[in-house]
Amino acid sequence: MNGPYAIFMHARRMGGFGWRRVACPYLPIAHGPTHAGISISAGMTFFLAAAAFAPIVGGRAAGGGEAEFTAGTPAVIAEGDLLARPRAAFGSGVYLVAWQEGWPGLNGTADIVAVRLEAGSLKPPDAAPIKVCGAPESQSLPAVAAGADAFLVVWQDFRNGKDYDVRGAVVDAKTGKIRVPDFEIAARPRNQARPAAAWTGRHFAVVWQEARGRDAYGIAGVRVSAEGRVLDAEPILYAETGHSPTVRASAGKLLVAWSDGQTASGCMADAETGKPIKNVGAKGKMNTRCPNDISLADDGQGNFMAVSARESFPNPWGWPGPGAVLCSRVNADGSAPEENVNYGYYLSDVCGRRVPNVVDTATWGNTDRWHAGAPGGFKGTADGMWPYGKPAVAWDGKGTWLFAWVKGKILPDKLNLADYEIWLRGMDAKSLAVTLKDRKLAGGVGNEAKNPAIEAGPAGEFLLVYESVQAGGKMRIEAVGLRAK
Amino acid sequence: MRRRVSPAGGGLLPFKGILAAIWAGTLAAAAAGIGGAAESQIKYVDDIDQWRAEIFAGAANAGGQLEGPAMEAGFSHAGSLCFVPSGEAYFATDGVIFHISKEGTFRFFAGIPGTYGCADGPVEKATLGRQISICPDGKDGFYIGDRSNRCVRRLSRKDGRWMVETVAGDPAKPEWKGKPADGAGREAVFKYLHSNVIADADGNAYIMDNNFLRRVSPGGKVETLNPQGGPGKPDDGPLESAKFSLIMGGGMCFGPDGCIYVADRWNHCIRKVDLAAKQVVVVVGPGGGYRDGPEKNCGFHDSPGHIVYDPYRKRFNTNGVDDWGLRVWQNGEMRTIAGGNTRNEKCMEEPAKDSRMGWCGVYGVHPLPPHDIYFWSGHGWTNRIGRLYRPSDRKGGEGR
Repeated sequence: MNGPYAIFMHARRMGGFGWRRVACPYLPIAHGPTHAGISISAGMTFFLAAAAFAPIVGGRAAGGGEAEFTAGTPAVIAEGDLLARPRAAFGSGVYLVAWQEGWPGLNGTADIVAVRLEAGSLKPPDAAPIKVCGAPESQSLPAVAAGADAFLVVWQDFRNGKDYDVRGAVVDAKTGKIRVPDFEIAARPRNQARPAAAWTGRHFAVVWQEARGRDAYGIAGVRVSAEGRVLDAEPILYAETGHSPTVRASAGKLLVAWSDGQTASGCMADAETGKPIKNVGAKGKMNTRCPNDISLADDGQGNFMAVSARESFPNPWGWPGPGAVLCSRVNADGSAPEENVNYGYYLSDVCGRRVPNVVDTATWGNTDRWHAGAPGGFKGTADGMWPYGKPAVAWDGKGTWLFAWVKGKILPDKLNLADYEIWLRGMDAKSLAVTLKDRKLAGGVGNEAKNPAIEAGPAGEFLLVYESVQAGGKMRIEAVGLRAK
Repeated sequence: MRRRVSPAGGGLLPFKGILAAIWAGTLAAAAAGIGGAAESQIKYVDDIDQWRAEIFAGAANAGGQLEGPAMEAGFSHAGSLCFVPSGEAYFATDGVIFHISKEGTFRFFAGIPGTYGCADGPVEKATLGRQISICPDGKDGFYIGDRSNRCVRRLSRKDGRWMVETVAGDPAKPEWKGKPADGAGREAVFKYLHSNVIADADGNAYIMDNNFLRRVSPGGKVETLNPQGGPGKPDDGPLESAKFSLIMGGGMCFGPDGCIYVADRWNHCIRKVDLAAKQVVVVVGPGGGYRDGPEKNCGFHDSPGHIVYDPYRKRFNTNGVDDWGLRVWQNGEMRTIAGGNTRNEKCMEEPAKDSRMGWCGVYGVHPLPPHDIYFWSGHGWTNRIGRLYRPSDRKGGEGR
């Protein structure tokens, strides 16, 4: 089976994967898809409206005043056959966007590629992307953290052809050069996969899921210096069971979060030692019933926000419940206000938005409850859309959490989704009231957009990156600049 | 007797929402005069005390698709699994096909993880639907029953590279209404492809589409074999007008006689489709309730969903979609080979008799000795593949 891959690789070497050096100006958001990063179109301004919902769980009502956001036109960072999972970090005046290029399968190859984008202009200062790792077999699912004038890029690595290891590389933020080429972070027997990273102020914290016991995954991590040295002889165990971890540092603490069954779980750890301090909340839960694809942000004061998804698919009878995106706060003291929120029968209180931490939800037609199993079956949602896939969150520095998430159009078979779009919403930090009304940022028919990451830059600036699938099958890594006025 | 290629075809697990059919099934059972709540009557296979269940693959909490050693592999749904004579296996689930080496290493083989679609091309560029089944095509390749895209696709090697192509059906067309639309390639229209696709030695694919048996030639010509059929009772008679009641069931396989055996779910029976004589007859049931015993007096709790022929033991393995046991049909009798008791607690790690089964199904039988029987079981275990074996058979066997 070498043939097709040899040809495929030849195509790649011959330039099959395009690279465009484009600007990503802060233009008003465009109506409809804008495939060329430099296209300019008339747009609109987002308004940070007064509170739309009264607070239910703690906090204060948002009110008064207006703020504005502008969003740039989607810009193409890279285009090719197989580009996926972009992740971004900001440091030393630049963003680093890293993604996976290639196919991570039998006889395939996938590499980790990155590009720097200058803050403000969002122009790439380098003439070509940075090949972070091009080792044999596959390197996939990258994550990025910024610190000490450098970026640590980590990924899961299948180069041994048997199991995943976690490896990383350090990219110099100022030059874009590889400062420390790829090195082992976790390379024990069996799988260590899906890494995430954060900068603590002194070193990087890297977490991953690793096979433990006979057949289950748990969460472990190590500290890594800016010079690419693993500082812990033995990994730090954060959870005996869990998967898909992520990590964030703020005010001397780490929040390590992961999925565990029907729960989005987490623990606080000491940023200096990396050692766990306490579970979040009373039971180690950030929320229940919405455990997938957790993303984290922090306000710089030790308060965290998690956003996660319910990855159910639509179903003719509605049994899996609604697709939804929920947010969950973790305060500096480790308390988790959404830990014990009850969402009712088949998450009826989610689809009725009777709980404050709903970012988005599918609905049962125009009703405010979920009627799973009702005679006649599921007739569709009010808007024909269904939230699905990894969401993202960032802090605007002024009291608003910005959420980006994915929703797809429900196909007539009521089984499948297509034409994925990325939407944006702002919610008040204290009350979770909506401060920025839902706005579609990217995607749609012939230009699916999913897998977003959003990174805060300087002075109210944000970078949203995501993967895009074009009608012809080409894939793109695209970026949109956001700015709070 | 013609050799059939996929006696042990894999079954595509209906998604979790299959629960929804419970009430519909109850109504159907009542309408058929079948006692759906009949008391369990279990009759184990004679060597039941020798059979063991174990987990073959799938971590308890991988959190999505992951390659790697079998016990650490990640997948979210039980999907469909088939073997090739070498002992390698191919596992179709959630838009990708995994290759499983003889050593048990899972690797992505076709499809792009996390991306669904219907793009043809090299395996590393092709996209597949979320709900797919797979079987050998008799020509060193595979057929893919792509329910999500309402089409039948082929995975084959061309000029040394593995390619995915759409053989019949067109996802851009709406599903048929009334009667199926036959034709060549994309002219044909499908509606709801049931549990699994199977193929004969000539390379023809067969799949139940709604309540119609469709045959797809290697060139992509689609023919409905029961054009006068549709939903209805399981009367014996001509294939041309045979009726089925398959809502979210419809598993099928070839038997040793070259006939197709169909798990006719809501008719609570197993049907035999004699392609040569063009006749369809009930061979097991109809019957409700979990009851072992004579083939005409046995039943399924929530009715037959999957069936696989075991050519090595010369018997069929079958199960009801929501049954709590895996069954064997041989010599005119239905018997239980695993589970059967709703009070069992542990799944896939006990003597087979004591293993908890639920929303389970059979994938197939390993082609190499000791011919382990591969299955899945629900109850939160749809991300795992189990297998049944007899320890005494494993001495010297390589197919494990």
